[in-house]
Amino acid sequence: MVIDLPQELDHDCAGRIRRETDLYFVEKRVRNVIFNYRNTSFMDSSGIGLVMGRYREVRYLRGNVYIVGVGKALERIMEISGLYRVARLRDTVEQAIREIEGA
Amino acid sequence: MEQNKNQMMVEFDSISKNESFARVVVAAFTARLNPTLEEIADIKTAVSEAVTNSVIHGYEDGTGRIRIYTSISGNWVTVVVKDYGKGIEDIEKAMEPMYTSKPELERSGMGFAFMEAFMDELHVDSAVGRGTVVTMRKRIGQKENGGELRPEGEKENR
Repeated sequence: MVIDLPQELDHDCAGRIRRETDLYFVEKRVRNVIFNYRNTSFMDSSGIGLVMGRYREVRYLRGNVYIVGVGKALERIMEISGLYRVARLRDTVEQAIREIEGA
Repeated sequence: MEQNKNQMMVEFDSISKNESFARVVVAAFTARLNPTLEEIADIKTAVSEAVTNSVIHGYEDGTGRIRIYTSISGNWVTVVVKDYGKGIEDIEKAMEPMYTSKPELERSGMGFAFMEAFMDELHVDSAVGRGTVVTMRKRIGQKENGGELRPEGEKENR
């Protein structure tokens, strides 16, 4: 599952994305999630919570969470948050997909 | 100190849609100090964290008012985010990284940690049943020379 994140990812947006994807997650038994930050220029800790939450879900199914398209603006917040410890950082969606399909 | 002094205040309802309004209005006010894009991003993140805290924790499901005072003095910007909500019982615990009182909402527990990381000073005052005041300060224009992220105390950026 690929989630294209909006330009600004805050509590308001994160809540909406969670509501929209939750049902799909359960129905399709999603194992791998790719968070695409290509268009995102702002994120706060709500964005961290969103990724951590999905991580916990896919972990049950031995899946992985990928983070792709992180630009300069988000580098620092990603590092401080420790997200890189749970999610796999890749450059592009295609790269992550190739890795998932190869596994 | 007297030169370049300026203040503003805004008050709005504690709904999540106003989080973006809050950070943009503070960022716009700070723009006269000619901050770098990174400094603006830091301030926006910190304001977003403080306001989100007031929305989610201060007022929980109810709606109240959030007030933001911003002042500029010299090259310092001070942002005060104030709510009249339920307050914080144990401030020290609330400020621990990764601690959240609302794991069910997928809060990361990083709110105060981000405010601390992105601003130069952070002070939290709270009274149970009366509300919370978060005061943050940041000096703008710290990295005129060299282009390093922070002059001291910060790890090297990858």
